[in-house]
Amino acid sequence: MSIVRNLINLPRRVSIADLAVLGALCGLIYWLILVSHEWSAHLQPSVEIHTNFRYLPLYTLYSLSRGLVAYMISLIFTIGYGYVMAHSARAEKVMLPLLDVLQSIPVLGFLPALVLALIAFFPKTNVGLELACVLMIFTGQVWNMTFAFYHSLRAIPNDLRDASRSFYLSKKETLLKLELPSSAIPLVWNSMMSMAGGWFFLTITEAFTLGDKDFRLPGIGSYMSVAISQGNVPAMIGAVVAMGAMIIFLDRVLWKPLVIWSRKFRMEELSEDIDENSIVLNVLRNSNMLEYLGKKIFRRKKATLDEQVHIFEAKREAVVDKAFRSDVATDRTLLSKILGAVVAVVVLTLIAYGIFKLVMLFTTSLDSSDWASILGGTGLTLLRTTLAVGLGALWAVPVGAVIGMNAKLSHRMQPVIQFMASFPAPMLFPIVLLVLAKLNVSIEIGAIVLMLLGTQWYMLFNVIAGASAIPTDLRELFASYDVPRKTRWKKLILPSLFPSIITGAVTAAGGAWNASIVAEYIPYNGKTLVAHGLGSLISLATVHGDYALLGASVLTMCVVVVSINKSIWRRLYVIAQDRYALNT
Amino acid sequence: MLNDIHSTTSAAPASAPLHRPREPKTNIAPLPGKELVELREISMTFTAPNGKPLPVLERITLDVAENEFLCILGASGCGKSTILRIMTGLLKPTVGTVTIDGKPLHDFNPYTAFVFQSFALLPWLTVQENIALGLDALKMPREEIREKVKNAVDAVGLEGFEEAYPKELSGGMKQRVGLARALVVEPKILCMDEPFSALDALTAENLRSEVLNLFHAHEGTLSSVVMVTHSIDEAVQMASRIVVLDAHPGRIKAEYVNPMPYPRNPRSAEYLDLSNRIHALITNTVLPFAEEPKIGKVEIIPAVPFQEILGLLTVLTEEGTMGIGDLAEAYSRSFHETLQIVKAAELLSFAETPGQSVLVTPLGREFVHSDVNTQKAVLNKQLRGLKTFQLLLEALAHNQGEVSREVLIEDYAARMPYEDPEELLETVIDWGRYAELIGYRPKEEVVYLDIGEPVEE
Repeated sequence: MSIVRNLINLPRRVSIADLAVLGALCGLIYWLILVSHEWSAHLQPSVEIHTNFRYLPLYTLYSLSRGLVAYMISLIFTIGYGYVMAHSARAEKVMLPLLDVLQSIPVLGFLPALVLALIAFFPKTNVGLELACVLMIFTGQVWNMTFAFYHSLRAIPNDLRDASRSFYLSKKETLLKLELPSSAIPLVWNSMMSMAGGWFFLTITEAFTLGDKDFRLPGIGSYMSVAISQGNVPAMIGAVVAMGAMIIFLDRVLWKPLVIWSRKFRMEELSEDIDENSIVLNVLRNSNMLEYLGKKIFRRKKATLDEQVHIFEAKREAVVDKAFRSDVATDRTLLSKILGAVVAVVVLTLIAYGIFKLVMLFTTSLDSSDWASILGGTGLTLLRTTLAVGLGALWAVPVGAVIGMNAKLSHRMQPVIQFMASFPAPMLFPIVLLVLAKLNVSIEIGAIVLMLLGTQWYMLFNVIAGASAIPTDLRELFASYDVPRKTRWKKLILPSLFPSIITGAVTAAGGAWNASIVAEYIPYNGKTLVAHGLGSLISLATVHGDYALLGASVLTMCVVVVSINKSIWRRLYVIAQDRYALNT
Repeated sequence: MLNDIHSTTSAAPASAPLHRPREPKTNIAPLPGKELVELREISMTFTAPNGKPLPVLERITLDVAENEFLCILGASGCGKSTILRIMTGLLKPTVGTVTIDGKPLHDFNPYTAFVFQSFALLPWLTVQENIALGLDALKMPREEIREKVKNAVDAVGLEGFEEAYPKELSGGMKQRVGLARALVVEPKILCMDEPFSALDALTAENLRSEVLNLFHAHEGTLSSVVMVTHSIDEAVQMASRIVVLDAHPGRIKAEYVNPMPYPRNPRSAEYLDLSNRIHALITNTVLPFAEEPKIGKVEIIPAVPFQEILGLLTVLTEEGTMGIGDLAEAYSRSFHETLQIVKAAELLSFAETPGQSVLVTPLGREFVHSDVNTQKAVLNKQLRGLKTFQLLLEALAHNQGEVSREVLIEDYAARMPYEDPEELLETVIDWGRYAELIGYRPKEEVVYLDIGEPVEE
């Protein structure tokens, strides 16, 4: 350290940490300039995506920015939506089921409509396209974050709420001092998962074309799609490497520091305290400059003592005043009732109008053969998603159980699996297709493998978590009686894992439906591979601009997925919680 | 549950206060002054999970005067915490008014500060940040906050812990933070909701005397303390006035003025007399079999596992007649819990409660000494004598020997709105299974008539 310090002759008060922060700040500003250039660029009828390696860093940077912007929107949405839902019983009645439906519908089907609408809004610049991409990523990120935030708000002990109320904390102060800190840990973990899920949508949206219209955006996803369609193997490998680098970069610079930092918001001291360090977090903590800047920016405006006393007395008076004022409450409830009624009427009217228009569209432009192909496609895709989930479970359950029951192994495997799960599956499609072509497997079956690629990780993650929660004494009991392996799996491991398997399967099935849209229709090496199914029907309708068929297919998929969730998964979940939960 | 009536042996209320050596050795219980808070005809009704209204408090009229230490005493679930929350403005009563200096209250009571049973500290704030919570919210100047927090830290004995986080502290230290946080906002009334019941006996004893010291010293602007407790001993030791609540719905049952000088000697005649009087009052409320007509009315089955009744009978057979308080100690259970077990044994005619003592009946003695199969036969007969089980058997007879859990719970909820129907069914199943009268299949959630068929897997 001191050698470096002497070499560049630094003043005492500036540390190496400060230099690192300064460098990062410069980089950040340059990054912002690049991205704003791309956003404000003129909308081109078709974008040239270069496969030259020279462009890859810039493209990766663009993609990263889209992911981060989407994440910021997700965070804001999460806090807003979750807050309202947790604080208003009336709003909760509508917002909670809505969120439940939104998180289970395959959002990819809505991509064309979203792109067209936003282009119409911003016909001159790239803003519309960029927004469409960001919103698509947002829809892939936001739901589980919102659920996590809402659940942790609801889980805040009543006494803590009463304490913050009775010590005069305002709503803002309660949010900052009580609500955000108590949700910090679930929020960080879900953000990590969301970001990983978001890349899937990013790679697809960046490479989006609609019939002969080109809606692509320069980015890592479009780079890959061009490489695939050209059959350019070095470029494909380059894109995969760039994607991997981006995921690792984010993990080191954003998530790991956040995870370690958020530990201070634990409600209770946990027995196992994993001693981990984050270089980035240490740099930020050690930086004098950051501390100085923070003081400059966030310091309370220095009021004179008289002013401070005045503010305090006014506040105190207001509290006493409020205690004895009667008229406030009644007026507000009446106003909010009227407002609520108006909003309800407007929303219901819009929904009714929408349904009416949709039915009109379907009856005029769809004939019975269209409906037959939708029905048949639904059956095929349902079969594929089920097989994908089942095949995934076939290897993920035993492997996950073995990893989960071995603490050392699971600690070592964690980052590897996390990386695999974050990697957007569509980027790996060409490699898999290459293998499938060699093995002479038709795309009708190959599509299952492609779906499997993205969804198996959900199962693995959940099973590992479940297996590590099997109590040691139960395992020792089985070991001490020398129970045969088969019985051990049947009587102990599988029943204990049941809730995790169900959770994993729900998530995997949802992912598989979404993936069907890209896995059943793949432009590859100049040709297009099409497997019969609802997913390819949506893609084909998109390409041909057949909006009636597109709408009907997307709607069918939503209805099928939501009703399967509500009927089968929900019921299995209840059984899992009732009978196989380990905490009796 | 450690501070009930018979735990006074370890009590040493005269012990010199740790952190305020300037405290005088004795204090005459101060004469109450004018009313600070008045509760007039307060009723509170919640909505039960089944959607029905559930009255929790009924027509409570209660004043808190200057210079008094008021204890609200009652069993769990009698609404005593609700009274405290209404007094502080955390809850609005369904009917009735709260007035302060004659003015009706509509928001938080600016005279009060709350101390919670669970401490309710924010885990991510340090001790001093937690204490400063209320002052920060009121935008008090920084310098002044620092000064006040320092004084409060001194007053409750937290010196040296200012920078610590709550999770590094023991329960007793956490509650000191809770106390300091309440004191810094300079309340006239300190409202404490079972502040010592989450602490071990010695820590609780220590904190009790410190709270009394704060009260006598009139720390800051402190004039009065209102404390909710379920421990008779705690109330007699600390309060200058005791209000005993009846449950379902909560009503004021009795009021005692307690002018004994502090520190109070738990062996003095006065002390014992008052605690015995309160004791008798509560025992009679919870064991009202003499007055209650049994015909047509469904008896209340205490939520006690049958094994505990068996345990009680074994103890009684060995020890002979015992006081409920002694039993509670022998059992290391709270007075209330012990009463529930005794009540259950009495319901089955295995025990009797003449006065305040419990003795085993000949049937109970026989029961303890017989083998498992005879026990089952005896219990079977006793259960068939209870209305709840008669109704259940009738229902089973009408439904081919099987009734779903859902139906029974709905039925119980309708019949006994104050009982927890799920808890009740759990007890019914537990007793019935022991007697081999009924069985329960958790997979199908069905209660069935036990006719001795082998258990299927």
